[in-house]
This record gives sequence, structure tokens and C-alpha cells, in this order.
Amino acid sequence: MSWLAARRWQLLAIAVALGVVVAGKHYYRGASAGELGWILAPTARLVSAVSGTRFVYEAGIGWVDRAATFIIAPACAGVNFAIAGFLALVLGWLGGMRSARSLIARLLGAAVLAYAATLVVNTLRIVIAIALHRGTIEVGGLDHAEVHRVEGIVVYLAGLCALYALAGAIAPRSRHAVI
Amino acid sequence: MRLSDQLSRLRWMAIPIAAYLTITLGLPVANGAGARAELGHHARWVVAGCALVFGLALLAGVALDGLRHGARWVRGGRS
Repeated sequence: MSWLAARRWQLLAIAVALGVVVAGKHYYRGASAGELGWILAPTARLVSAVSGTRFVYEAGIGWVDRAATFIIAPACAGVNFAIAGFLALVLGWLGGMRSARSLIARLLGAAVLAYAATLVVNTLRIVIAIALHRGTIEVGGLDHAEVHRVEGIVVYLAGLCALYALAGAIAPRSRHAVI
Repeated sequence: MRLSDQLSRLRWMAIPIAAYLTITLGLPVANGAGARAELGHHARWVVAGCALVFGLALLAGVALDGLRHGARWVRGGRS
């Protein structure tokens, strides 16, 4: 069997993952708060439950808590994290994609896990951002926008690594990517 | 455990970090945003964030090894 034939399912998985990355970024660039409701609404509910805030939907803006003077806008949706998580999981699970069935199962698993992880990690990121915004956590030397940016990068990246490690624990060891 | 072994143990982090860099920096650059000063500024923070997360994971690994060695030493001392 040729190299190409032996790895056709893995190559197809990479093509699907890259397609999702490009299409996802394209969709996210032009999506409104209402169109991102599938991810923003549950995130806003989780943030409200965890932080004791009360975010309500305002058309054209996003989920707003006027008392906390905080908006969960389309830029806060975490779609980039979801896409990165999906890509990392597909790459990590490539070893187990040896048939159409295993390919579909792992692609669906990666999508579900990436979505769930996005809700958890993005909720954590926004709850910390609200605390920073309220001044509960002080980071000297940086303005609020910079602190918000750094906090987002660190929480997303740590969350992505945690998601990948979790996926490695779920998948059989020999089927998870080893670099 | 030597530092090289500790680093080797964290090779798995290359995939999530690469995925993150692809989404946050690779695609914007591919879409022509590379010339914008804002992306350069953001890229510096992203790289610093990657270094920070990797460094923290390295430290956690070293600390866990230290704890394991300590626990083994205590058990050995008692027996």
C-alpha cells in the first residue's frame, strides 16, 4: 500500500481541520452578536452565574451588564480559541484516524470538546477580566487594555494546553500524537 | 531529572502552541495584516505569553519532580 493510501484518512482530517480554520475565521470576522448567540449566550449565562453579574442581550451590542459596566461583545466570543482547540485536537488525534468511522468520530469529538472547553475557558477569562475591570486584581505598570490582552493570551494558551493534555488522557496513549 | 529531559517531556506543548500561533498570528499575516503595527504589538505579547505558559509548565514539572524526590528521600530515611 502506498504512503498516500495508508494515510488518506489522516490527510483528509488535516484538510477538514484547515477548512474549518479558514471558514471559521471568515465567519467570525463578519459575525454579529446575534449570529454568535450559539456561543455568546451560554457564555454570558455562565459568567453571570459564576461572577454574580447579570448580563442581558442588547441587539447590535452583545450581552451587557450596565451595573458592572461590562460588555460581552462578539470579540469576546472565544471563536479563535474554539478553532485553535479543534485544530490542536485533530492534530493530536491523527494517529487514531485509520478509517472513515474513526475519522468522523474523532472530528465530532474534537468539535464537541473544543466547544465545551471554549465555554469553560472563556468564562474563566471573562470572570477574571471583570475582576480586573472592577479593580479587584491590580496589575501595576500596565493599562486596562494591556492587562485584558495579556490575561486573554495567558488564559487561552494555558486552557489550550490543558485541553490538549486532557484529550491525551482520554485517547489511548499510542493514538495520541507524540512529537 | 536534567533540564534537557524536562524540556523533552514538554514536547507535547508544541501542538497546542502551534495551533494558537496559527490562529492568532499566522492567519492574520496570511490575510495581509502583517504590515499593521497593531499586529506587531499583539505578536510581542503573544510570544511573551507563550514563553510564560511554557516557563510555568517547566517550573511545575521541576517542582513536581522535587516533591517526588523529597517524598522518596523521606520514605527511604524512615526505612
